[in-house]
Amino acid sequence: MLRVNRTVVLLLLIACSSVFLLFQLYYYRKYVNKVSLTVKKFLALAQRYRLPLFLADTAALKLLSQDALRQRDRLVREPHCSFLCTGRPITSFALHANLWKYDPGFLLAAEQKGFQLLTLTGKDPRLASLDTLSGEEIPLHFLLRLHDYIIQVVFLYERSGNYMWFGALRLRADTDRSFAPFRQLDYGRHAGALDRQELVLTVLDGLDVRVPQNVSRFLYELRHARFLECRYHDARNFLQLYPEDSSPQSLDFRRKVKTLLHRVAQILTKLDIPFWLSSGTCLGWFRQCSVISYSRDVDIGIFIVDFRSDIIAAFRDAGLSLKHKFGKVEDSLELSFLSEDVKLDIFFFYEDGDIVWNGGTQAKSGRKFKYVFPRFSLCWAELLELKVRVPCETLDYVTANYGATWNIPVRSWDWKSSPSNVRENGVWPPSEWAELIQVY
Amino acid sequence: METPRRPANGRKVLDIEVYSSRSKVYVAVDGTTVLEDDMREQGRGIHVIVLNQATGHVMAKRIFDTYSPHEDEAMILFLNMVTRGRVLIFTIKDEGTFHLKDAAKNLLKTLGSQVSLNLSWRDMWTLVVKKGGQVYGEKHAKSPALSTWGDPVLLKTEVQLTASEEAECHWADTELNRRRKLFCSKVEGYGSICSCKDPAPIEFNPDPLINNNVFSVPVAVIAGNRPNYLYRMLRSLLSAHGVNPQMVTVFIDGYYEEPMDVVELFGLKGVQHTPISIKNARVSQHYKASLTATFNLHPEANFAVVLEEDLDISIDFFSFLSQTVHLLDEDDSLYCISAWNDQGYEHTAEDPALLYRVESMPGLGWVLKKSLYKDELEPKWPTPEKLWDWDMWMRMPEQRKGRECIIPDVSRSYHFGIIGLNMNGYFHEVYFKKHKFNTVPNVPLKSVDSLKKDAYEAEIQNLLKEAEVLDHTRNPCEDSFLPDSEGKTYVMFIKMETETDTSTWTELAKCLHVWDLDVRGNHRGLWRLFRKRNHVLVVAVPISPYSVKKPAAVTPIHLEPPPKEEGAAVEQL
Repeated sequence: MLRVNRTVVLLLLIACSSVFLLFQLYYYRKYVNKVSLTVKKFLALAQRYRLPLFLADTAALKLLSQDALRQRDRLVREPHCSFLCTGRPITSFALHANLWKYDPGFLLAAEQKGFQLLTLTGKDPRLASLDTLSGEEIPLHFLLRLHDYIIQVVFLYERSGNYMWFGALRLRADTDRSFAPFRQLDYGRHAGALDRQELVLTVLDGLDVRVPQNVSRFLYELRHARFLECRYHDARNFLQLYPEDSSPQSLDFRRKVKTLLHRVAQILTKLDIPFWLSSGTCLGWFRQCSVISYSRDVDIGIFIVDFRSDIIAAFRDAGLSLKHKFGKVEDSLELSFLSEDVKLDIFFFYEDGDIVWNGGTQAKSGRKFKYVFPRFSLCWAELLELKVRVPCETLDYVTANYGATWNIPVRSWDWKSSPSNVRENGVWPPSEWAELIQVY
Repeated sequence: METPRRPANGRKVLDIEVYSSRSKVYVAVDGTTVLEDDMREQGRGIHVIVLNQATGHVMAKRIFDTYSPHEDEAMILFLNMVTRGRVLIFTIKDEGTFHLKDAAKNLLKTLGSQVSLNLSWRDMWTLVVKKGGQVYGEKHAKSPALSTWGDPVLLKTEVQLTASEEAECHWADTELNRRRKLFCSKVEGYGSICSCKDPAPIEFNPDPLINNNVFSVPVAVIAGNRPNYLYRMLRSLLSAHGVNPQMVTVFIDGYYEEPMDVVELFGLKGVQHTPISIKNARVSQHYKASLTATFNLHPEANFAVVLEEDLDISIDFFSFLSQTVHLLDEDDSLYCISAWNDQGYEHTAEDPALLYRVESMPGLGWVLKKSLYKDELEPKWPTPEKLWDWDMWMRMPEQRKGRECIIPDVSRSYHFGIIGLNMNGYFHEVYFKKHKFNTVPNVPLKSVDSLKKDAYEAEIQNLLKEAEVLDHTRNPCEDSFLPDSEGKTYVMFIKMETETDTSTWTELAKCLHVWDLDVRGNHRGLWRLFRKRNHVLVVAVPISPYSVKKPAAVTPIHLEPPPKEEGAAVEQL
């Protein structure tokens, strides 16, 4: 029959679509209910065992921060699950480990409620130091699974340096890899460092949860949270061969460096300018987890795009005096300050394709130098009880600067010729010297 | 490869080898050497090994130098504490019978030894026996003459393991008992902790303190390998009012199992540290690592309590600290708060509510301020090759910088350790045994804020004003030097021309039987102690600023050490 009744076909299609839609709606409702119920069950348990939790799920928090901006659209959303139903089968919470006395009853109760558990422990990084200390492993992550929905609990540990640390999630050989969609987890690819958060109690989808007060700040921090532990084992080996100088002068220098670094961090954090440890200061952290006693100054790097004209004034106000200013924002900018007879060198870094470079200037001759590094990203680290940034690819950075023999101390260092990545970069035109070479 | 022999009932059989000789002992269980001692000049006496009768694992190892006195008593105590059913292995190295008295020999006989009553000078002997059960083997070689040793004996025997249920008690299944079960299956020699009926408690629920200012202060217990000491110390620590077990971390200098087992028995946190260096430098490095780790584990803490494994802790230790810790924040002239009064002996300390300021750092249970450690001490802590005592280093003027410590008249800690790097039985007997120790709970301390620098000076001036001057013509070492009164305050003046002119104080300290090895416990040349329940102030003239209080007519007492005799007998240790 060639002539099929069009109406019949249309009706048939409508019928099929409706069934399909109802099907979807039914399963979505079921999914939504499932999510709500699972999270609710978990939060009830957490409440009973007094877990100091807060919602740390990036997807949920994103919805929350967007929602805060677009109040009107709230009515459009699914009224029962606006924030927790993010489309991912995961919700992540963070737990302040210092505020919780580990109670095995919590996990037992969770199991009784039907949750399947995966607990991940690891070495306590607070014991990591130049001494070899080992204690019991500490909990890093709990994964609770109910009906294919995962609740992740990340343990935040307070560390000296005034930050919170969480560990990477590493599966043991015998762990069931199908337990959770590990790749989708917010937390666990790397260890991370976060500033302490102010929390507020709020109601999301009918549930009492605490969330970071400044959600967008928290999410931003999380994106740049990766933390590198210092290589204490290798540092110990290095110090066996080349023991640290414990003369009063070195101790005094180290003390001054610590004070200076803390002050620099304070100033630049207030200006919201990210910086990292560079040159000898970076080498000292990487090689020996401390400050090189024969180094003369503190070196830091800042991306030129982060430059702000009020940097110099800010340092001056904090009591550091400007010693010299070389170059210009467009090319080879470098600032040096003095604090308590320790020099602070700020190198500004310029991005150029897959390399990054900073400039140097010899005041008396106007010669320019260029120091080339492979591209790097920034990670957090701890030095002298301070959370500071270092290049994530620290070995590449240090090798570029100091060559393959970076692990051998070199006391006499000429910044114009010793670094492995130094190149001549011409000369400043004499007419511009007054502007480009300022020495105080 | 030999397959393990399995007789009819299927249980494993252990091959035990025990060797006893003049210069070497060893014990091997199934081919594994569990004891081997062939070092000269050490390990003399009876070596005892306790095996778990179900697993064959070594649960305890002891040496009792029964050549020397009193060791046999210790051995009796130990053997009586071992649980019935354990496998005991005995072997003598060098000489183990000279002070093996009848009581000990009889005990060995009741255990099953056939030859114990005949053991004599330089005999070699081995025994393997189940406590309360059969004898697995015994070998004995008599020494033929006074000047020679018995022939070395090698005993080879078999021990059949039992079912594990037979080796365990059946306590109720609680969290505490699970810890107990784990501990008792691994370790022996802790007595009633492991007894099946009515085991000693491992959790103490001491009263909390109201307004506990030290609840969040971390407690670092610095430990080595004296697990029985650690056990005694932790029991007293966890019984003190106001203790917060969650803040306690035990730092063990080395990867020793038994101290870690003790820590886990009490449910505390333990950290092991790879030892660095030797002798006192090893101890000093261990302190440094432990203190740094304490502040890393508790970044929000401003203080740390530092304890050692050979101290009894008084019931009001935390109460004492809670009432005094604010002084460290409010007074820059303070170096520490310590629970120990160097001069506080049973006859020289009276008042648990009384506090002093002293220019020494007594240690032995003290509070360290974080800023002092991080800013001053940690950066210049002695490096591993410097063989210095950490506490002597801390007392040096470069570190102390003229600051003082607060101490109680009656100490809140008691040093019971007899074995240690700097200790021995004689030293303990003379300087530590009769130290006064507070047992009164919740002592309210008197006028704590008058311990601040200026307030304390005013307090001293008041005391000097009301103090009666003693008769300086009498012998200060005699009891009659003080009148027969109680509760009065007296003052005496001794000669001290310079800081180094310590002969009078040292002689006085010696005859008063207080600490006389160096000058401690003074505040600007003034000592405070009790004699015959009267408060006595000792002023060093003219070095002390309080010398102005000396009446013109009084001559400061001057004592000189007695002249050294030629060829004087050396004191027996």
